[in-house]
Amino acid sequence: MTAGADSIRECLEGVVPSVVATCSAEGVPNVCYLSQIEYVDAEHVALSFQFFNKTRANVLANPYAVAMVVEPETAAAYRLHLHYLRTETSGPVFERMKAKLASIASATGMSAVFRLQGSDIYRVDRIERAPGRERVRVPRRARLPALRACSDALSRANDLDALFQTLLASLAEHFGIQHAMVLVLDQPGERFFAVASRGYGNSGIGAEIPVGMGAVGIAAARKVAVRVAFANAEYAYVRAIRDRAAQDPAWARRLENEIPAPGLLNPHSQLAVPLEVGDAVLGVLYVESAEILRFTYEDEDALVALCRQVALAMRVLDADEDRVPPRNPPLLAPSESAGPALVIKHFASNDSIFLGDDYLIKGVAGAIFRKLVRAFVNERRCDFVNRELRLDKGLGLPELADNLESRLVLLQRRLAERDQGVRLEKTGRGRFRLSVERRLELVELP
Amino acid sequence: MERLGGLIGPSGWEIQTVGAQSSPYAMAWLRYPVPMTAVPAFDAAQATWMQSGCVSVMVASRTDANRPVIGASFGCRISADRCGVTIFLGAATNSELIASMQSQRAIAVVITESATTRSIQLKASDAALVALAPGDQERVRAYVGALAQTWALAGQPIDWTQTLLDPDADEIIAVQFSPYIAFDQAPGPGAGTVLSERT
Repeated sequence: MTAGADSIRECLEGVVPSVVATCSAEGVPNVCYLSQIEYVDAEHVALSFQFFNKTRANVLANPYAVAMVVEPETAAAYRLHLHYLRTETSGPVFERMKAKLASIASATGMSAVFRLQGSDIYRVDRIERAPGRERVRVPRRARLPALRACSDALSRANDLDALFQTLLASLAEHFGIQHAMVLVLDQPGERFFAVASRGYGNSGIGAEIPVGMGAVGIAAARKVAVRVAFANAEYAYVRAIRDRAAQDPAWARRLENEIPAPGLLNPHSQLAVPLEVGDAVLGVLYVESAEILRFTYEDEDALVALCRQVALAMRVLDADEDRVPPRNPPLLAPSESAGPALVIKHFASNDSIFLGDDYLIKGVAGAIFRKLVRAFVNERRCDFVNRELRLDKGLGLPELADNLESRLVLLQRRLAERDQGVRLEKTGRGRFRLSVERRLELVELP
Repeated sequence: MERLGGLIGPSGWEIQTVGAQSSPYAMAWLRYPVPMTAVPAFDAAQATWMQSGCVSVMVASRTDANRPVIGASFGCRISADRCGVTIFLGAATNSELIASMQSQRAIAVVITESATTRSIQLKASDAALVALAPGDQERVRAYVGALAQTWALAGQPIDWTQTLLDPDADEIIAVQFSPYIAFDQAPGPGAGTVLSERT
């Protein structure tokens, strides 16, 4: 295996601007700064195409280019001898570059002029170390052992809640990542909900985040990991949500009534990795930091590998287990205890649920909770299986990638946070129990 | 311009010996007389910032096979009439670039001020190796020192810049050219606008 572009990936972070030289067919050289060089794979890089300039005219006529890049830590300079192949105007490389370019543009005050028109894909023919000194590299925590430790921990998680909690705890322990959240798709193409978080003042569990906002939105829509290394308002979804609320009173009202999204207001580094299994995107792992350049290419590699395992585990742990009969007959609710009833209000218009006057949840998770409470109140049932929820078309679960188990984890967490004497407990794979300590009264409202 | 060799070659070409005697560049280099332009490609204000220690100076040429070559210069020196520009290159670091310029004489140089992103590209077809003028070694050192201070303001450690551009790690050689065209290279849709062209 020879050293390819992966050996100089750190040079492409945008810390030190890269420079590219080309020649016209007539032999006139040209040299200019580049906004961005993106690592594609060991044999290819992509150069940002923002304006039709001399570089572009030259490579269309004479496909050779040479870029000079510098390692941000050691100051070692390299020449990348390149051969122009094609321009891409959509797809994962383009989307990744667009996100990164926006962050570089924002960091350099160039948002108005930096807009990606295309990703020019080049083959890397040769990488040459320009002779010179270099600084000693400060040893970093190795990513492979950290990845292995996280993977080991995840393999022991036997339900979805444990999976998410283990993921966030092991990222903190082994990667030093202090701010992280798992976002699960509610309705494909519409919104996420936060199902687990770590490192924020408010957990934000249950917060809804519209699809299409920030690094998270791109990661889910394009199925690419999105890593930005500098502060950038456009990709900071918390800011984007607030900005939208400032312009749209209906949004502002919604935000007031509901759960505030977790997240740093001004993250300087962000990494969003899709949770993909097969063709389906189940959600996104999002990590962020107040530091610039906090997440490296190697962090991205490790988290992408880890997220494959998480997504597969989500699918396995979400599977019904309806073939094995319950070991015990369904449990009936204990006789209602005395004392005031907990009034549970259900609003049919959006399936929102309030415990007394406190907002709990809405949407599919709200419809599920109403179904459970009705069964409890009318039939005194408290044991349930996932299967019966999947068969209930009235709940509004999506046909594919319904994330049912994640919704139950969300409901479980929200009920635990509210602490009103109603809880959800896992009783086995595909089974759960509504644990009720007080009398319930369900009030149906339009 | 200094002439060290002073020999006259065939058809009036000059042969100059340049650099220290111990250097591989202390060789006779057959060269055309540099055609000094009557009209400079940039104004006096531009010449001031272009020669400061707050700029990066990147250089390109082409090989005989019309492939681009690239290198970084230790700043530049501009003649009083602004028609001649001299850049300073590490000889070992830029051996292919220097050989290409010797062979093809084509040169493109982009000079960019870090703090403002104002940027100018110069092109010429008469690049020639010349002797270092008195004070050039000091000029190169002062340039690196000033650049390290400038980049330090943006968070880059001083020793990082001194490592990247270390005038003591390589033999410094000078290349002179007279730009026939200058372009505004400030980032944005206006990049590439011709500032001045010799007709």
